[in-house]
Amino acid sequence: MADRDLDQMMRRMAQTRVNRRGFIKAAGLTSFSAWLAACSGGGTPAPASSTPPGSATPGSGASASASAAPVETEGALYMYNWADYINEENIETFKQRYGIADWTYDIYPSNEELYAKLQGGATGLYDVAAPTAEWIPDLVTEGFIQKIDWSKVPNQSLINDKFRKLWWDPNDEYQLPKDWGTTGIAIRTKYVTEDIKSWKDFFDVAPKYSGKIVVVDSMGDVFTAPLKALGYSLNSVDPGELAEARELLRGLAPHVLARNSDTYEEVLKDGESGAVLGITWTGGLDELKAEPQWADIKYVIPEDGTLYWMDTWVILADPPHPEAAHAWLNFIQEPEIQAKETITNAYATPNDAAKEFIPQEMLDDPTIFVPDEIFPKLEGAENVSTNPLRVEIWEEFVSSIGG
Amino acid sequence: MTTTAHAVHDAARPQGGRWAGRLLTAVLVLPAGLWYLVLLVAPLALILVFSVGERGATGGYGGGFTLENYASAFRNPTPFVTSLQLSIMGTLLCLLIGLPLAYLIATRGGSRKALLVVLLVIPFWVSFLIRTYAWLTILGPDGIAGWIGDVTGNRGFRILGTDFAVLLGLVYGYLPLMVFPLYVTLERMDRSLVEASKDLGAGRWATFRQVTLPMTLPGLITGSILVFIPMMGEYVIPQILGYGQVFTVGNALVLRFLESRNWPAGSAQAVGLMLVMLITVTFYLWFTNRGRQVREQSVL
Amino acid sequence: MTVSVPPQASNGVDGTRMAATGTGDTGTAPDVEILDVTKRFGDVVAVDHMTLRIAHGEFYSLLGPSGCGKTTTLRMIAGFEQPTEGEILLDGRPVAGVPPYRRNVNTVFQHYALFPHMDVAQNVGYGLRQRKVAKADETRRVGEALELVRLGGFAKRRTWELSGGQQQRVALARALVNRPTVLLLDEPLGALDLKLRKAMQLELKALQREIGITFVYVTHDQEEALTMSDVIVVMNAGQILQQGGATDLYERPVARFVADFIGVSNPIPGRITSFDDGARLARVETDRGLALTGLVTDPSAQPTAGDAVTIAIRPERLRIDAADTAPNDATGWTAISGRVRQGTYLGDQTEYRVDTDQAGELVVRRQNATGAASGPGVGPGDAVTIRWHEEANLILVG
Repeated sequence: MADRDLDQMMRRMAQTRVNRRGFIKAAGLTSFSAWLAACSGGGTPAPASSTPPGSATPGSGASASASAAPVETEGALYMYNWADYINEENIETFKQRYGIADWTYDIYPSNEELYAKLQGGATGLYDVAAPTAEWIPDLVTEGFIQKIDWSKVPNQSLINDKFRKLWWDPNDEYQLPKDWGTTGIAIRTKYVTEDIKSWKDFFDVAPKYSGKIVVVDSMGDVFTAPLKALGYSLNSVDPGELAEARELLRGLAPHVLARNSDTYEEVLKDGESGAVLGITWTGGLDELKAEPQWADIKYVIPEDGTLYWMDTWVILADPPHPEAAHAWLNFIQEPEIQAKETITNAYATPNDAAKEFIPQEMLDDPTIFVPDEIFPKLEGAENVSTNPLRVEIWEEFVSSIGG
Repeated sequence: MTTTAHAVHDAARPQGGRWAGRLLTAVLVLPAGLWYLVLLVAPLALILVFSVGERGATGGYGGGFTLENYASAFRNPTPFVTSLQLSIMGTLLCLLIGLPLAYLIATRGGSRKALLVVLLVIPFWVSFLIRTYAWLTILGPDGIAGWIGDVTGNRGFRILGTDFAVLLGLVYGYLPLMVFPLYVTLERMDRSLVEASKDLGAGRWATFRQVTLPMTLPGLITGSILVFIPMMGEYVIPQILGYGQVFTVGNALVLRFLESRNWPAGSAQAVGLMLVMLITVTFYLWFTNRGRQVREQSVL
Repeated sequence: MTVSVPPQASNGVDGTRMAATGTGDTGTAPDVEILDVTKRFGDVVAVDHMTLRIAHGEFYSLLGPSGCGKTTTLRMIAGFEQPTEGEILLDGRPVAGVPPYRRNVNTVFQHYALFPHMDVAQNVGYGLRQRKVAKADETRRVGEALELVRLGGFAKRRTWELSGGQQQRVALARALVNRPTVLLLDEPLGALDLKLRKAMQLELKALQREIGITFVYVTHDQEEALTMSDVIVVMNAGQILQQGGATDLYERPVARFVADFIGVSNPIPGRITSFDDGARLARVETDRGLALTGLVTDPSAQPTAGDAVTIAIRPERLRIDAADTAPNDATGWTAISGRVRQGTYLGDQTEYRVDTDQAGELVVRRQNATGAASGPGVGPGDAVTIRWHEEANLILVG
């Protein structure tokens, strides 16, 4: 009996969108999903791999530019990416259209590992990668990534202005936005009766659900809650503001059941014997909602603003196949192609033209897209994780969890 | 050092033989020496150097000299205390469960000894993470906790996220490391010593206390240290089965090395961890060797 | 190649002792009584309906080849094994189910089993500590025990620093210090070299005399048993074949196995022609037509004419002379002719293997009492006459 449960859980873990920031799970699953695939004969089915290769959307005429013109590539592309982070059909289309015979897709479980691999001399081995945005400055400083030739990526013009000229790439030279998502509040409405709309609401009701709260194991995400509830920037390093945030976190800590980046959805699933309220990401929540007994789960993007994360396409320094790399970046932002990415990855797209090809219920899903009225209140993470005061407050918080 | 002593000792020999002898010694010592140097001394030296440096602009190590890393590592001693508590409890539990288990296999295993030992190892063929995740299901609401909740009518009953779950995970994960050395010493122990003890009037317990236990001490010390040291660095089990309620040294290291990419701060924390382990293990060895001459039989 | 032991080298215990110990009915109960005991390990019968009474103050040896059940018997007395059937009594009390640590017997183990984590004095005092003997008493008694085994200055030594012989003595002291009713010794000299073993044999015997404790000594070495024992119990296949003093066993073996296991004998098959119960003498015609008279060794046997028997003759009882120099026959002497196949000079004696028509191959031993030159002067191929007196004929029934 337990065996079957375990089997189901593992299958689900392997098949659903891996929570990209779950360090432990990602590390375990990269090898684990391969193992499971070997056992079950394909743990991660390609949704439409039955599509005849030749028929793969040759026109893409809706594209805003002249990208339909044939592009000469080297016939090979070496990608270094998170596990299962591209629509399989798009890969086939790309290979067909650009004559890619040699396709490599190696995976890393975390930004840390990507960075470490590049430090170890992996530059020149891969063409493209998909680091999270706040890593861009360090990648640039170290010379691990190179400027993108935008003349070869006309589809860059489709990117929403919100995601342009941000602190991590002030002149938009090094990255092309890929997928983005938010940190928010997960609620089991079966157990939590209050209508929680903001971080402030969250802190207000937290004591009532003492011992039934889960938070992600990520300093920057957890700081978002008190700082935004107080109306400050979530990247604040101001000692006075942090002191106020510290008080809120001190009040929250005793009520927290779990600090968990990898299986917070499991804890939420357990309801009355687990957690009913949480500071979480969106990964795993849609899968829960699909099951009747957990359909009451709700993900709220706090109206006082929250953190968004952004994964970006970059071209690594000295790419073996620069033409193919640029072709890929342009290809992936074609609206119809990009829409498939969004549907597969279940994260928001920075490409507004793609929304036309995305089902309406997905556009309305707060776990994927942010309502227009909150959109301006989103903030990207800055590199503040080394701030000693933040580290100190965080350590104090995690050391006093559970009272 | 050994080479020098060797040379002095052999001074009377003809020059050629002496040089050949030294060369041979050098060649034989070389692989082990290199191994020791490259994989033990060098990383340790690196960590010590890092620990007094400053963070580089893009993370990692940026040179310089400061003791602030140590000050900050010890400013919040909670992770050390937490890990120490967990490790000591876990080691004790492993001992309490492992000793009888090893004893039973070694003395009552008969022809099935090999099989029983293999059974102990089999779980290790599966990745540590997957085994730990498996416990998540076993202990969860669909598993034992749910069943107990149903039976007792306490729907909110849970095991996950409790000290019990963490200790269970620790014992499960490290028990074989305790059992193997104990099993080997018990297996190698001369059975007639036990008979001699009984023959001389000692009952079962008295025999165990006065003969079996002291004879097992080398294995017991080895096993305890083998279990204790990795438990000090453990963070996956408290994280998954304990719901991350406790903040261990392992958590602190991940935070500094990976999240903050502050290698100097992480190095200082790591040196702190090594110091805590060194002190604990030294105290333990002193304690167990007190008044006994097992030192020459112990592996350490 | 020191198979032969001259009977006079043993301690001259005569057959009367056996009568006294055999019945075990001399007023006080024997120290150990083994009553119809059988021990099985699965399908293997280690001890088969054995009955033995061990009298107080005697040196008993259980002698037999490996697997004969002697060690199992010892372990049942010690309490390490429980009899499958039958009963064991210590000091007249049944001890079924009594664990080793509640029996007033102590064992000296084959490989000593000294506790390596204790020094000599701690080893010797172990039994006393289990009995909560006062510390001062313990020290005194340990000292006495060590003096007894001549290890006076060794109290603080580590056991593994000692020689084999010294470790042996520590094991002995460790057992004796508890003043057991019976001391059990499981081939304790097996690991020692020959010279040390011989010295320890005499020492053990002297020690046993001095302290008067009953010893039960297990060995497969007949010479060891003959040297030390008051009573030797010969065992084979889980059964007792014969028990008695050294002289008894050598001079009056009742079974072919005993005659072969203790010393060497020349077996000659034959059949009874007549039997005189009063003198216990029988006439036998051998299969090759030789008529011989001899003593029926088994006192309980009642052979009748026609019964198949074996006549055993000790090699040293045979005389060998060159065929032409043989003395004339006298009354009671038998003489047959043969031819030397092999002569082996053994120093104190010379062994000849002689082919005879009437008795097959015979082994003959001749003491070199006056030097090799005084011998019969025969070598391989020479014709010889073999003679023996009828007293040398031992008739083994069954």
